[in-house]
Amino acid sequence: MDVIKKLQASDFFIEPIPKNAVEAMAYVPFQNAKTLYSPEQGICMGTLFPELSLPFDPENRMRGDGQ
Amino acid sequence: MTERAILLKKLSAVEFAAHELHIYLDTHPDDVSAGKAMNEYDRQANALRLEFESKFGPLTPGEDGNRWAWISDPWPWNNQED
Repeated sequence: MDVIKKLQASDFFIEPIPKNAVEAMAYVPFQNAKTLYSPEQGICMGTLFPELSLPFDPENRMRGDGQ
Repeated sequence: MTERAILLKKLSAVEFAAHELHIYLDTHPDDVSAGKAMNEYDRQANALRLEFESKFGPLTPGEDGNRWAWISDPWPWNNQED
């Protein structure tokens, strides 16, 4: 039951990994939020951002949402 | 749930949403649509806080002149009304 609010479309976008990424350097993929949970859903999930909702699932070593 | 508990839960959720967008904007200061969403949740949170405090008393020491009023409410373990 994901209640999703869409953020207004905007030109805001940053490459998740820089195009000029350098060997042997570690990168955290940059977040570009496009949707939000409703406040009620967000406080239950512990985040307002669906892409950051990653329940720990050591059995399957994968994203908790099955992606 | 009592009206008090429902209102407090709603206020907590909206304050959480506003704070999430606030810390998102720390690293994404140019994301205009996230800024607008934060302002909207801030506005809702302020309205809910005013509504809660007018019905059930202050949530924080605040500036209402009585620095002890906020702790005269039921404490979390005084939950007989929930």
